[in-house]
Formats: sequence, C-alpha cells, structure tokens
Amino acid sequence: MCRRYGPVEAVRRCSFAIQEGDLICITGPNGAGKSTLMEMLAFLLPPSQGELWFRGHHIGKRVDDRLARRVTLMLQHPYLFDGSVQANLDMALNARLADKSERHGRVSRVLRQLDLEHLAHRPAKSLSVGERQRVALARAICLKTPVLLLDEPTANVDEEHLPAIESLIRRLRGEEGVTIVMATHDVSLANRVGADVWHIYKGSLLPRLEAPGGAGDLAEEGNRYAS
Amino acid sequence: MPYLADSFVEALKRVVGLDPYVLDAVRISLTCAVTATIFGTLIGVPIGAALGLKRFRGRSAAVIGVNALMATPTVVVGLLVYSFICRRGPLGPLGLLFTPSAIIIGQALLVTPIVASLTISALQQLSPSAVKTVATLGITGVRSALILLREARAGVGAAVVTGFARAVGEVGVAMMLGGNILYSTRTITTAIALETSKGAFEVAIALGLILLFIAYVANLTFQVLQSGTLVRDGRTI
Repeated sequence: MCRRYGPVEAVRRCSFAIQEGDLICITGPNGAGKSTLMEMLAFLLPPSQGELWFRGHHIGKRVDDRLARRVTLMLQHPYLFDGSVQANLDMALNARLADKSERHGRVSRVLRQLDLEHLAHRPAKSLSVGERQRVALARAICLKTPVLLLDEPTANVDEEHLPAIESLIRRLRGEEGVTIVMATHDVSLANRVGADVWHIYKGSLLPRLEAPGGAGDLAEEGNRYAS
Repeated sequence: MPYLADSFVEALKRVVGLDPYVLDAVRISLTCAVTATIFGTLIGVPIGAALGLKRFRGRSAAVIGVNALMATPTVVVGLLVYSFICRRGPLGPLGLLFTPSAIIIGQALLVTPIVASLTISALQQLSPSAVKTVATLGITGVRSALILLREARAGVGAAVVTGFARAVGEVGVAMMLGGNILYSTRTITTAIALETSKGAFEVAIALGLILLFIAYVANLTFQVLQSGTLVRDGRTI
C-alpha cells in the first residue's frame, strides 16, 4: 500500500499480512508514517495505491459498518467528548449494545482494570493529558473489537500506571485473542508486552525483527537505512 | 424636540401598563418568530450537518449557495412565497395569504439558511480529532452526526438564536404575507411601520423598546452560547 498527501508519500511500499491474535508494535521516528499507517488499518484512510483486505473483504473508499465496527483505533491525540468519563465510554458502546445495565457493567469493569474508577464521574475535559490518554484507551478497550489499534497508547502516561496498561494488553491478546497493533516510540514497551516489532522509516516498513533483543537491532537497522 | 420625550414617556406607560394593542403585536411576533425558528431549525440543522460533515462532489457549491441565501432580502422571500400562496398561485386554494401561517412560512425560509450556514461553521470549528474519533469508534450515520452536533451545541444554539433574531426583526415578509391585520397578523415590526406613518410615535417607540429588549435577550443568549460558558458541578467550564 501507498498513501500520498499531494507530493508527499507518507506510507510507501508497505506489503504485509497480520494474522488473528498477533501483537505487533510499529516503531519509528516522528513523521515516519506510523499514524498514517494506523489510520489506513482502521479504514479511515484509503490507500492511494495498492489494496487493503480484511478477513476476505476488500476495503474500498466506503467501508461497511459491520466491518468498521470490528476495528477500533485509539488516536495519538485522543479526543474526549463533553460529559463525564463514564458517559464517554457509554457513548462509544451505545451504538453496539442496547442493554443499559450490560453497558454499565462493561464500562465499570474496564475503568476498574485501568484504575480509573475514581474518575468515572469527573468531566472528561477536566482531566490531565495522561488521564485522558488512559480514558481513551479504556474507551477503545470497552468496545471489545477483535482488532485493536493503539497509536502511542502510553504517551504521557506516568510510570505508575504503565504496568496496568501493559498487563491489560497482554491479557487482551493472551486470554481474549484480540489482534493488537500498536504504534509507539517506546521500543521497550514492545519488549515488555511481548510484541513483534516492525520498524517504519520514511514511510517504508523495514524487515521484521522479533521482540527479544529487537530494540538494539532495530536502531542499528534504522541507522543503516537512514544512511 | 419635546414631542420625542413625551412620546418616550407615553411609550413607557404603555409598556408598564400592558397596553393590549402592544401586547397583541408582541404575542403575534413571538408566536410567528418562534414557530418559524423551530421549522427553520428542523430543516436547517440537518442540512448544515450534511454539508458540514459529509464530503461529496458539489459540496463547496452547496455551501456557497447556502451562505448566499443568508443574505436574501426579506421582500424577495415575501415575493416568492406570495407568488405561491396568492389566489392565482399553486397553493392559493389553501387560503394561506394574510394569515400567521403565511408569515411563518416566509420567516422559516429566512431562518433556514442562517441556521444551516452557522451549523456548518460550528461543525467546522470542531477539532478534527473529534470527527476522527467518532469514526474510530465505529459510530456512523445519524448517530455520528448527533454526537458531533451535541459537541458543537454552543455554535448550533447560537445559529438558532441568530435565526430567531432575524425572524423577529424582519418586516418585509410580515408585511407582504401577513397584510398587517389588527389582532391577526400585525407584528411588532409592521405595527411600528404603521404607527410611525400615522404619527403615533408613542406606540411605535413602545413597540421599538420591546423589540430592542427581545433583540438584547437574543444576543445575550447568543453571546453565552458562543463563549460556551456553562456551569457544571459549581465550576465554570
């Protein structure tokens, strides 16, 4: 796939397959094309060239709602809507789950898992950047889609709350079989959650490396590619 | 010019004394303007949402068209509606001419492009990540539009208030389509025009003061909505 913005090629020569249950971490410097690639995987941006397929369905400019609802993307700069934290999570679920008590149960469970219970009734827009990030992650997770795309999920999150997020990512993949693709600067996060690491540089994916010991190799690979 | 001062004092007496003539003009004005604003909102907000959120061929031309309609002179709208509802017009048999319904139709046509255009602006001022976030959550169609309209509610509310202010303050439509019939279609603005032409300044000034007060309240509401000032849990946000 390629994705161009005018003369700029944000993503180029990307050809890959992601299997069900994969946990992949895409790393790369600022402007490498991580977020563009994530938005393409979330069906928000059609490829300028090439094809995107999801479970046997070709993804065109218009995506069927049923397919779109199988993928959730947490944006790098997540937006929280007016209202409480709980209302933000409930609003996201409302389109999929009619039963109010079931929605409430799921929202409470996810808030507890991410240690956000005490913020449930706070206006979402009054939260700190790190808290917003965690609420956005909670909102994405509570949708329980089979594919979860997380763009910089731990950016601005303090170290105290990192273990809860990492453990949740591991559990989602291990116990619930969720396919997770993360974009991050933090290669060590990939190691901690046991993800395969893909490196993107100037819009191109570099050859894959397995997570253990991958960070150093990747830096070396990136440098080689840059030179 | 003592007559001006005298007229002003007399006008205040009529306002304070709840003069039935003045009150009736206010009642008719508010009834027509509020009803027209409701219809204008019901039509204008969906148009604004479609043009503000959807991307399709010809969208820019449609937005320019809606913006241009905002400046339509009231007499032109009056003329257009008149041609449809006059006895010889296609809607003539309905007997709408010189009724409050005719004024409401004309004013709704004035309000609709204002509400639509300002709704487009309100939605365009939303953070791009708001629109993107709704899509990333798999929310589409009408539900997505409702969420984003709720998020832009200050701007949408301001659009409605602006539409109301336009309806309540116009004179061309009310005069041409209402006919300025006492206790039936005589609005504040048509009454002011009539009383001034008769030289009854005190009545005209009394009505003018009320119209100014209504315009002030509408603008105050507009300012509050525009600044997005809402008090929640004892905090201004």
